[in-house]
Amino acid sequence: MAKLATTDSTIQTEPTLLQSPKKLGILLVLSMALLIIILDTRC
Amino acid sequence: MSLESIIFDLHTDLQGIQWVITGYSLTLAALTVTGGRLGDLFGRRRMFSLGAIIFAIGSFITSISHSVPMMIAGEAIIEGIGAALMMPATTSLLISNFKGKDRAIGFGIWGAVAGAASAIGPVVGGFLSTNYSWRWGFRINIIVAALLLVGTLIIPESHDEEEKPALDVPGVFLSAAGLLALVYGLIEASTYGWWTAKQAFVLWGHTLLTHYSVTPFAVLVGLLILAGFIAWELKVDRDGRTPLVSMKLFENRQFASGVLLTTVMSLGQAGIIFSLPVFLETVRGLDALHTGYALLPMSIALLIVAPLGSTLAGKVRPKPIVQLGLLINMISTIVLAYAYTVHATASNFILPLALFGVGMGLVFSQLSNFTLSAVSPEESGEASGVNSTLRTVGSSLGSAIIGAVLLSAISANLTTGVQASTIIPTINKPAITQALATQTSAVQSGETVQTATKVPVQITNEISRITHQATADADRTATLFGLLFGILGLLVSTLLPNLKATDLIAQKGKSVAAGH
Repeated sequence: MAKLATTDSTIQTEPTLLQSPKKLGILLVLSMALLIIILDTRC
Repeated sequence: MSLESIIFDLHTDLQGIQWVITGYSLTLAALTVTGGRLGDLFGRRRMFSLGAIIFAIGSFITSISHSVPMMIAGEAIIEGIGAALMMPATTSLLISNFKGKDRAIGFGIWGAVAGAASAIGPVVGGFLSTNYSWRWGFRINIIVAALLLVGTLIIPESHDEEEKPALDVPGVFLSAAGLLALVYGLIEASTYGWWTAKQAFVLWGHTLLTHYSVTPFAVLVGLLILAGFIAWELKVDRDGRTPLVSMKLFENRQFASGVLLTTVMSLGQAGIIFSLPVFLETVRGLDALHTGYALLPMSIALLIVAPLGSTLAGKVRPKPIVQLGLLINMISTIVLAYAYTVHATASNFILPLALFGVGMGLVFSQLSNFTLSAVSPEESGEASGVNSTLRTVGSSLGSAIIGAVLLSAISANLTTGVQASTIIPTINKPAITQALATQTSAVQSGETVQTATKVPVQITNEISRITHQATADADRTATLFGLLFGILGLLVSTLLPNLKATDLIAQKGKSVAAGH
């Protein structure tokens, strides 16, 4: 049991979008790119 | 941007500037598929970064432009190439970096930005031109592109490891030429007409077409070249080489039904964005900036609802959410159609436009994730390129169709209005009808109908009243016609497989099976 517990404690779950500044950063970069591309077709 | 200030600074005319705007859309439409495939083959982050650098160079050239050719080179060609490299990467990098609920939310935000940006463009452009200079619009692009380049440092690189990194060059030329001709024909339908020429087609000083519009020729040539492209891609696939777009993508029902619905949705939204400004500029006399403000309720609703709707992933299946959105869209289209009266002001359109934005938001909260999760990360650039291109084709077709309906309705309403008038003397009616018939395009562009100076003031006022009534009625007709896009969307939505959000995502190296 002790061994199992140790194993379990090593399992890492990937942080979700809202918990991960890196993922939020990637989303911000991609959204900004999309915004300037479309704005140039409409301005 | 305020076109008047650009026209003044560059000593040109409206037609010259329209070439710049149309050129950018054409380059983007022609090269997005290639941009997506280049990302798959040579690295999506690399192509995104290269796109940002090219976009910045193009923006810099445009910002210091002193002539139309320089602006065409800067915006229409160089910026367009940069945008075509970045555009598909905005979704393929989402696919390669996000999974499950994160991907659903990511696509919800992507859909919100994509949907809202088309309506907020005139506001941003109008604001910059009014308070600063049109050149600032392009200087801001340089700053944003620099920030994007720094931002790419946190994005992991990804590319298709299964295909040989060989570009299908004939496929690139065929797809670019076909899309260029098709989208050009559609964009120019409002200028030259669908069949009979509203004005002569002049290219580099040579008058090429006087009787027939350029549109049917361009559309036909475009479709023929695209048919050649499809035949070529099938051959490349059969020969075991790397195609630009594998036609096997379209055997995947989740992807094929998703891109079809995306195209139909773009048709409907483009129709609304096209017809409302005609009313506000002609009847209410608003400028481009204030017309842009009037469209904001749609953008705001879309920006709120699309990300919120995406959080439903895992709780509700995407198909019913999409269908609820389409139903709301149809109801809002009817409400919008009946908001068009001669006395309507911008505030009368707030509710129907916000409702339309809610419907679009619900659809876009699911649709991009639904469509693009159908393919494996290896094919994400290729699929993103096809999806973005069909959005552009849908928008161009939507504006062209609604533009044609609006124009013919205005023309018919003007004639009926003059004939029914009790103020215009019967003897003058044929001449006034004739004068109005030649100026229908001017009414559609928001201009005032010109009459001879000798016409008494009560007749001028009557013509103005008839023009306003004709425009309001034509806008109602065109919007109700747009309801057909909603019905078509609802029909197409029945083709969407009713998958759970957890079943949407294709596994590495394998698309979601065609059999769904």
